[in-house]
Amino acid sequence: MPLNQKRQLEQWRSRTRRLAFVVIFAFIVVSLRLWHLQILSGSEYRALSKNNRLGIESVSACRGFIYDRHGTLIAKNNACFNLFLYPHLLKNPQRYAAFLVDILKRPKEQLFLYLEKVKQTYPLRPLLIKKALSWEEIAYIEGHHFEFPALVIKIEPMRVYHHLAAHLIGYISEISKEQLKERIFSNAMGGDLVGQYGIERAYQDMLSGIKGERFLEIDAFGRELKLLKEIMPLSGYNLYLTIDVRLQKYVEELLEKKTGAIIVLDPNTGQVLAMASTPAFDQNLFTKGIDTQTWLKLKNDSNRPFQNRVTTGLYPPGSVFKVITAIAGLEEGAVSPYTKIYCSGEFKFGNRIFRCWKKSGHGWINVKGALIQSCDVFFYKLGKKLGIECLARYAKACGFGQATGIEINEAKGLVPTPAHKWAIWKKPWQKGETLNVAIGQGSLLTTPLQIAMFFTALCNGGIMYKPQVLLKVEDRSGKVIKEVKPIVKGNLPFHKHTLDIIIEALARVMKSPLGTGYGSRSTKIPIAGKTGTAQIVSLPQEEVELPYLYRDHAWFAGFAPVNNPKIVVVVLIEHGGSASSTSAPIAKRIIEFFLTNSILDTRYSMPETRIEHRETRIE
Amino acid sequence: MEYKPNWGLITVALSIVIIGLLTLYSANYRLDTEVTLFYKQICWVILGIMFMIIAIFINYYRLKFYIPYLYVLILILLGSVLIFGHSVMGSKRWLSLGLFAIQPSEFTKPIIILILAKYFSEAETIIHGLKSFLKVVALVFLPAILIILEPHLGTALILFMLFSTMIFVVPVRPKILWGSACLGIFLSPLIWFFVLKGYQKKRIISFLFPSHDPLGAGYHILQSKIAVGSGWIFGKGFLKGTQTQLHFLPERCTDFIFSVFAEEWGLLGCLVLLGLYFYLITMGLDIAKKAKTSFGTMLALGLTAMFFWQTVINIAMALGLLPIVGVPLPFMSYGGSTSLVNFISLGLLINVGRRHYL
Repeated sequence: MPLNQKRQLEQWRSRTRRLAFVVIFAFIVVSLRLWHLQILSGSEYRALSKNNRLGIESVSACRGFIYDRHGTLIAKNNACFNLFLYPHLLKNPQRYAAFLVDILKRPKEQLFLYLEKVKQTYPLRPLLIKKALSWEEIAYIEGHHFEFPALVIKIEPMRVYHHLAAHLIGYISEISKEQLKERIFSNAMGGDLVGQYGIERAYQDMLSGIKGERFLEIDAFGRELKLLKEIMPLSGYNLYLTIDVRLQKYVEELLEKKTGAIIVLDPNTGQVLAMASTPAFDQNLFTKGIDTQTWLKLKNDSNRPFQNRVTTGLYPPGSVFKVITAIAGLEEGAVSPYTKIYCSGEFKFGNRIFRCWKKSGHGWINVKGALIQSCDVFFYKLGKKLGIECLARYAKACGFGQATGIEINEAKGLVPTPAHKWAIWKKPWQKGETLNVAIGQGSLLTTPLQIAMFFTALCNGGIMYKPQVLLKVEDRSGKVIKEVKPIVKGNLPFHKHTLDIIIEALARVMKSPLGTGYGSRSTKIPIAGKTGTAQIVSLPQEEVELPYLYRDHAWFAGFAPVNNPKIVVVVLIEHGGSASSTSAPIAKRIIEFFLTNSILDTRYSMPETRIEHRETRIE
Repeated sequence: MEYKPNWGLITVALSIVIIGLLTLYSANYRLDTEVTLFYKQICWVILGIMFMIIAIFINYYRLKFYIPYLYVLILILLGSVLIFGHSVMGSKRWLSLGLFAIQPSEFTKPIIILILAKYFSEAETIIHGLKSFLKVVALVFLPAILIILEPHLGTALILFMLFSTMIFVVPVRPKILWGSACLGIFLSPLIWFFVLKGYQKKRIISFLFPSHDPLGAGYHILQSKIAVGSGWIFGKGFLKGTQTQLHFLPERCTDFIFSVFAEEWGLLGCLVLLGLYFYLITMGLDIAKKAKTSFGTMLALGLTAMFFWQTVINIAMALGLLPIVGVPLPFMSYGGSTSLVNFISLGLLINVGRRHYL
């Protein structure tokens, strides 16, 4: 080892020795401090710890309200009396169990076991044991307060929903153990009520507010001696949605007792005016605390009441898709507006026969006529000419097979291609499948929302909007902090004259006596639209009454007025059979309701408006 | 020729680990949702011991070659924490690795020690010019700034203490030292206004003026002091600490685990525990003194300093002697990354000790 390195090492060692003094000094200081705390002030701290009833209690924040576009209340909070149990004050579980039998409606033994377990596992955290006490119950519990100090009644806000747009608004319920780990709930604690579905979940962070804290001194019986300090909770933001309550109510009435989905949009902004899906569920079940049986019954219902069919219901678009096949044909130059194709009522392809819905055939027909009369053979032949890759490209350009970007849960749907089929099923593409896709059947899957967004772009000159549900956000003092502007996602990459031809044809679907929607024409407002049936089973069209579950789904997608569109309506009735007799009349009634004065009918307005309600709101 | 590992050191460390596990068990005894922490910690300890054994028997000279790579790796990890890390209570400290998450800031401590040891052992006797001094400062401050951004002030503070300790042993020209001290004083108001977050300022204010806000940030310090003080000479007994069991004490498993121990085992228990830590640290200094090479001396010194400062700062914090900064108590606080880092560091320290007469 070189000399200078040795010298350096010597120097370092001597300095290290000095460090030992620092260490000894630090340990002496710490020991003296321990002596001070544990011996000199020991009894003082022991006394403090014995009487330590200095607790922090969190105060739940008032969840933001939800209004419609005109300020009509949809979801609010009411004051409600909840029964809490303070486990550390629980002295005689046997007596408590006997007392609680009447209130909790459970056998005494079960309650006793529960209380015993609680006593051992959760000290000093109040547990919610019953929500929304009745006046009789409150009187009964208050009357026995001194015998049962562990029971405390607190006033808390409870979410109340009007029975409206259940799938869009969603609901709140107690956070689950898994959700506690999720990032969007990072501010929540066990026992909190959080948004589980729809808008309540999508805007959980805006609605939830910030919890407050109460620093309390409590005596040995759990009575509050002194409120030492209070940090007030901050209420959540109020949300204004784009929906119109009156229209929403009307739409839900029309869907009553049917299974299906309706969405109404403003084509000039992409704002959702109404969104309904049936069967629906009662959101208020969750705020009171749903029991397991009811929950399981709802969850396992074969009609899937929890599914928002507008955004997550996947259906073949049926003849509605012929609009896209027609656009592709015109844009690709496969047909001109005047090209006529012969429909004999059936089309032989390989050894299979593809039938038109009209057995006798439509004769020579051009693209407009084919759309008006919804001729199948025309589109079989056109689809065969275009090929599946081309159809898929156009379908994707129109927004199918991808998310629309709405805030709530949605399904992407499926635009089948040979490559996709091979990747999933490892089966080659059959040529006949192309023909099925051309008329919107087969493995093509879309949501009513996607159809609506496509029709929005179709009628507004080609602008693809992101569907918008949130109109504006208001803070606690009523100041608007965010106004949502329509978001343009892109444009339909088609020529204007192509779109004009399509729109004219769609108008004639309703106007022309030959059109499939003629029966639902409106005498007040010119409507353009397209009917469709999504086949459940492919049977030769015979006049047989099929069992309900095998009946086709009925589609209608349209807009009005034709020249200056103000409303886009998509109606889907599951197993509705023929579109012209089920879905089209519903759409017509919605359009007439919205564009005439019937919307002002008081039957559809809600009593509680924003201004009235501000005073009764509990903060 | 002595090749045997230092059994005294291992015994002491394992004693502390066992005390730590018992305390952790007690801290979660009444909270069924978190008892899993106790079992998780056992897994971390076992994993840590495995790493320690590896760290004892590798040739630590060979490590020298990998140090720059380790340093770059940790910078990348610290950077990605800021970008991809998930935040808990407002700070981004964890990097998710699928099954579990690691805290790169913990691993920064031994890596800084290694790179400083390498640098000093290769440099001249005295850090001569300002230039070479600034080079060392840059080596430490680069990761420290990334850690402050998380923000994780406790670890940044430990890095600074490590740096100061090593600078003390490797003499730096007094002029430079005074100069940087003045600069530090000049910069501290800037740090106060631009670096510290609101809650960190609150903690320092509540430490300096405890009556300022007895229920806000001062609440934690007060509850910790009540826990320690009410322990008396013999303590309240295992699983019988009311402060702990009734959850008055915050951060029972990590930063305030010493308070849990002090409440249940009293002054006697505390003195035994302090004795164990004192033995661990003096043995570490002894290894540093006896090491045959400058790299070995510096490495052992840095690792010992790491144990020392973390122990003293954590305990002083629990006793209300220092403001609350998140510094874990070595071998006792819950935490996967912390445990791994401590065991690896201990292994390296023993490794240096094995080669005294090499």
